[in-house]
Amino acid sequence: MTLIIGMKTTDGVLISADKALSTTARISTARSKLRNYLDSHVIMGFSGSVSDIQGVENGLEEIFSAYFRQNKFNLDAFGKMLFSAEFKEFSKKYNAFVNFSGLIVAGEKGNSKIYKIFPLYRNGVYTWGTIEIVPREKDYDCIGSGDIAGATLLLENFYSQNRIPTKEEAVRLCALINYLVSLFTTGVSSSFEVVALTEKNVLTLPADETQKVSFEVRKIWNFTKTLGYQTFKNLDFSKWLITYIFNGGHKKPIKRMKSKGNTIVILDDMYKKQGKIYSKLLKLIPDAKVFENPSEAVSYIKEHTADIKGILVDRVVKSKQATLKFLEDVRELVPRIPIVVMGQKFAEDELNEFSERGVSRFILKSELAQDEEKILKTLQLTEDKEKMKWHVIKEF
Amino acid sequence: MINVGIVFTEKLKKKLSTGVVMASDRSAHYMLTKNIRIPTFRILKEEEPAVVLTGYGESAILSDYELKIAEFFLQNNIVDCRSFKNKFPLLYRQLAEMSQFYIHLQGKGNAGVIADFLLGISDEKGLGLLYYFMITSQGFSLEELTNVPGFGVTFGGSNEVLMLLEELLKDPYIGEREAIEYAVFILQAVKDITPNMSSQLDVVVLKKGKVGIIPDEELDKMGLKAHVYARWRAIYTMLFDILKEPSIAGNVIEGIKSIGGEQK
Repeated sequence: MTLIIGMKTTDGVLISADKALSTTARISTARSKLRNYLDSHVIMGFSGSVSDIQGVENGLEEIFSAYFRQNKFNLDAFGKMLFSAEFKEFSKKYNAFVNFSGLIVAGEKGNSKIYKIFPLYRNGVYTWGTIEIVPREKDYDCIGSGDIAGATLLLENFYSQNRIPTKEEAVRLCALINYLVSLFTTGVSSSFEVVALTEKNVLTLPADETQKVSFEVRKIWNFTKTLGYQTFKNLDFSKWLITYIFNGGHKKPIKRMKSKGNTIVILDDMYKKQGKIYSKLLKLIPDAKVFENPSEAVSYIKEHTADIKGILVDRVVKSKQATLKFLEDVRELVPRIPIVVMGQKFAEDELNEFSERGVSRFILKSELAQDEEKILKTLQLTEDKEKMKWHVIKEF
Repeated sequence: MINVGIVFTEKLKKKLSTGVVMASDRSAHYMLTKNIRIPTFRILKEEEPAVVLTGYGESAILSDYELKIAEFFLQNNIVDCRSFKNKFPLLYRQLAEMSQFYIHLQGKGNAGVIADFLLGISDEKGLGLLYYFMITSQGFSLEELTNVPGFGVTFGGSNEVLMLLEELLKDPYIGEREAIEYAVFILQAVKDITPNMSSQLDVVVLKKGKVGIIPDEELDKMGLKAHVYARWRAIYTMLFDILKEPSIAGNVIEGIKSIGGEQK
């Protein structure tokens, strides 16, 4: 069994296929389950037994290219082609020995459609079910294929709330459905591959990226499941959850929950001597307060606890003991604020000493002068969102 | 239509007492088959009750099974769960013979479920039993669900919901209120992703040799349906919100901490 999901997103359409086949058959990756035709305007996902898929794939490729050999691809013509005599002939040819179903995703200039090829069954010696490929030209928002009804219904319910997802959200939803279906169904793998068709290009998410998404989604599922479990155990908790969710309590931006401030406190007794580094750094961080004396820094932090976003400390301020004491004082005052230690070099023992006092990150002074992005990331000044890394297959 | 059966456990003065909750929606359209009948709770016996909750199947076949089970209770003088268990092999044999006939009648080539139902029994001593019966063209099974995690679902013969339940219910012991809520929750949640299910639900509780029916109207009056549904929507909404923006999970955790709610 294979799970193929097609979804409309805010910027095009995407199709995902699980990778279960790769372990059982001569097809080495799921890539061949997602094949693209006609200058990448059409992508198909298949489910069925392997040898049949190969035959059907080649047959379809022949028909498509014959139909569009002279003319340029356009979506309307493609829709008509699926109802044409050639296509019907094709389904007749295959209905005797094929166990197959699939999805076609087609798009051009920002317009896209999902077609479902209805299953063509041959189970054992009995031929039953629909014995014709019937492309239904209903305008699907989303569809799951591979004869797993629950997946489609879950998706339809999601769309019924008028939520057209972004690409990233759609991939997460695909990951969730793949994971859930893989739990309940043998032969469906939780790892999957995605190809997206947007107005400008064809993109793919490679396996290591979808694996990350899958892992993230599992955590989300386990988290929600635990909450669901709690609401049955504890009536008060369920009441709280309902008010919290429906009053939009969870929609507060994450920044405000963590910290209100923007100020970065910098402590370095050699501040004036290292003008090169600091001129650049202070341009990057407009809200920085620089101190040369630890006691001054501590008193500032005490008075402006709410404003502080992070602390950047030199490895040795006056003496190493003074630095360590400063760190201890600061940890008590602002336990959740990230502290970064900078230095020319670090010994292993030192790293441990600092870590014990709540230092989360270290940065080399040489890097401070060079790598701007790294500085901002280390000081948590940029949103540290892990974005999905899409690979471009083709640009239109 | 979907049927749910859950075994619950309650502590009474150091003694564990078990009972059975069975629930079903009132639709008859789930399967497009002729002669399908509206799901009913057939109470075979009032005292020391035995209740059959029929699921999918033709009415004639289901009635036949019901009569056979009722006859079995009468002929073998079944008065409690223990005597039922003692005579169970006999019932199993009788039902197996019947099933062979129906399998032959339907023809082995026809895939799919011929009939399925849940059977719940309870006695005064505080014991409860739940059985799931299913006959397909490949064979038949009669499975006791009491000692497994404690639930059973008939879902047109598929085991997907059963697996989902196993995923949800890690705790083998759940109380009566929880069991009723779970049953209502499952039916409502499944209704959201299944076409042609009715929103009207009936619940039957078998406990200490007595049987009580909570019809849909009563569930509505109690506010149980609405409350359970609100919870389901809250979790569902949150799941999709987190999928949209995973960092929201952090906010929810902060929120839980702020009310002092525990999170496992």
